[in-house]
Amino acid sequence: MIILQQFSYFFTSLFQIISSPFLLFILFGSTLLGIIFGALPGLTATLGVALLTTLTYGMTTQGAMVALMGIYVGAVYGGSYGSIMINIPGTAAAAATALDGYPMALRGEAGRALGLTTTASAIGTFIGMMFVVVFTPLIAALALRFTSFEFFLLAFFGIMISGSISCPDTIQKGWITGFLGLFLAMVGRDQLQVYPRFTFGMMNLESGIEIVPVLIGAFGIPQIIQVLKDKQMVAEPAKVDKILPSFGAIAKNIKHIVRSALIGVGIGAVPGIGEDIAAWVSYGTAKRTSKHPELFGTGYEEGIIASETANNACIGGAMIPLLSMGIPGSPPAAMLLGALMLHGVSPGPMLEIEHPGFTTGISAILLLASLAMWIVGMLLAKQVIKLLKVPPALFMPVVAVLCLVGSYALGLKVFNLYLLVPMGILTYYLTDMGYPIPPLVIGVILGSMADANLRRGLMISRGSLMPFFTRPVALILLLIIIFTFVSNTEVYKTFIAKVFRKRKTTEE
Amino acid sequence: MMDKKKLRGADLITSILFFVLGVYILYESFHMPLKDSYAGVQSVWYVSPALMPLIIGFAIILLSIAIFLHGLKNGGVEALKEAWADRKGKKFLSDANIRYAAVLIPLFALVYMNLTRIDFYLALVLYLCFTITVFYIDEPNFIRSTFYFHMAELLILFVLSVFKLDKVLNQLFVYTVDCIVLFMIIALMIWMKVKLKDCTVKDAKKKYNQAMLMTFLAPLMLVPVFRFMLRVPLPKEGGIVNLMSLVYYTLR
Repeated sequence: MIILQQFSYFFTSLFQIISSPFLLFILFGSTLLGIIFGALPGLTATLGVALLTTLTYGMTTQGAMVALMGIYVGAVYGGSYGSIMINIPGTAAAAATALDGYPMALRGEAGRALGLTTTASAIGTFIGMMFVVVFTPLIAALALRFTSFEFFLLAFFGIMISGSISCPDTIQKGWITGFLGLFLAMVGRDQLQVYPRFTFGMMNLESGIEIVPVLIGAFGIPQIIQVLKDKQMVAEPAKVDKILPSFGAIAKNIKHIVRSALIGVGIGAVPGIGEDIAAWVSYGTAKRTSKHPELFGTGYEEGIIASETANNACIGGAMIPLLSMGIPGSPPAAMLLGALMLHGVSPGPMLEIEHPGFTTGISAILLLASLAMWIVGMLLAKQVIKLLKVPPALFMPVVAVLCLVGSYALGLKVFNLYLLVPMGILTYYLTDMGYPIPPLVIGVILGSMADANLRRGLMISRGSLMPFFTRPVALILLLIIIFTFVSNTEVYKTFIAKVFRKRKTTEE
Repeated sequence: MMDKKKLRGADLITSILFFVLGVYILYESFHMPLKDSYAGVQSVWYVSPALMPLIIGFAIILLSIAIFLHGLKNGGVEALKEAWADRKGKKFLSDANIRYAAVLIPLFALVYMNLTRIDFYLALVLYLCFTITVFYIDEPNFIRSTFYFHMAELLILFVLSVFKLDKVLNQLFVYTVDCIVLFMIIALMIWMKVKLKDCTVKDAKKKYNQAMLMTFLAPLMLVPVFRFMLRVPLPKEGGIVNLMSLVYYTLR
């Protein structure tokens, strides 16, 4: 009965969007905008979602989701245009695609490469969507049994795992930015006793730091500074012949597509880990398991398929923890969380109770977005490629203005702008010094959840810490957190190295 | 990201900053109600608003020590010494520093000074006029001379706002400051046009025209979208935005 109801929600959403010319226009328009955002070096999927959030404020929740999912899907795919045509990835998610996409374009097969990425990305998004349909309700049902202790640990787990995986330098840097994010989330009056924390007596800080301006500041401003500060070179795109869907090559590589999609979904579901890591892991796995690893990097179709399927499948993966637990799986998903909150929707285990059919509605949008992306990609790729000739200096200052206007428009508070600029500069320097930004964002988002749930849980247990050890899920989460911490210490690494060395010598 | 060697030096500085932040968080947390009564409610440690900040403060301190020790072990001090020695040979007003200042100062001026004092459209045009043109043409001498000129303009606006002269001037005529900014935009355009003659960049004139087109068209599209479609009251609606409103509501 529940399955039938979910099906009915799915097809109702699908029909509502298809039958509305306005929603269809929004879908195709935002997907095209996403492709342009992804294609232009310097603009990212997160920035695209962030800027569009401000324009969707006046729309219905469904309309806003159509626009935001469209731009998200389009931007992750659009990154491949730069990779293939000029060897400059439009987004970090498409960096792995450049390894084989550009050599293929140099061979005069740019059309084939674009066709492969378009179809592989559409299939990746579709498989990701299937996982959203199947796993979100299951995880949400499980999360309904969670108590405050589990939610506190989940928030902590999100920060620890995101800090561990996304850090380009020493792991402690990932964790410390996570705690910095948690600290920023503490600013304002606390939820339980309404006590003002770290407000410096400023009225504007009493209600806390708003998430969307922080996200725009963290992802937008550093990008703008970076692009303008460095002298930009505009490359001439490779010549494109006819763009073909390459169904034959896709059918031949179906095994790789499924594997890459599974990797994408799996990595997407880990809090704060984005499409770039999914693409690299998938590319690496494809190379390791391939019969011809020597062909990777020479314009090999398996390489393109592996990275492009994974980065788009990651979108579905990132939506699973977002919708089921309110924990964003990737930076653009964090932006989507902010957008959902603006529309009065609180993702989490209660989502399906408060908004029945919301998850299946999102799945329907993902399905349509992947279709729209495929159609737009096939028809307009040649036109979008022309935009690669536009130098970033011409549009980056306008993007800066959009970031400012967007942040201001969301709360009509000039104070948001006063926070946005220092936040942007802080994240710019942190990135430059090897501190990852996703854990900081996850910390800001999950901070209040961690704080309120820890205190609420302890209130119920009257200060006893035993529920951390007596509740099975809490214990598992606690052990994972401890293991994540311990496995990254020097003592553990030396111990493991010694054990392996010993085993090796006994084997010899 | 910096190279690994420089990074270790930077780690020493950032870890000290993080350590100070951690100490500050702990200091503030110990001033929050831990066991005492707040707003008539007797607090206990486990519901105290200080609980989470205490955890965060301790964690930041421990992690900052770990980063500091890692930096120290891996040549952080040497990297800092090298960076300090390198500084002596570098000019404060080098091309790279001017370029960096040209990104940040106009942005700061827009956010902290102009947006709330100057007509929204004009504030955006002033910012875009400078930023798009200098970075699109992208020639060190052109950036430097235009930057100095623009700084002089921003300094005038700074003086007006600090001494609240903008309010005095607007009492004489409601759009006086807007008119001043309009003159500044025109002056900046003329300055850049003149400086283009010394510019060695290919197609500099074409680039200048394209930059101007973008400068005026982008806010012309943005302002109506936010003001009339999304009905967002802009931070400062001066001469141009009011003129747009007049046209919009007359036509509507």
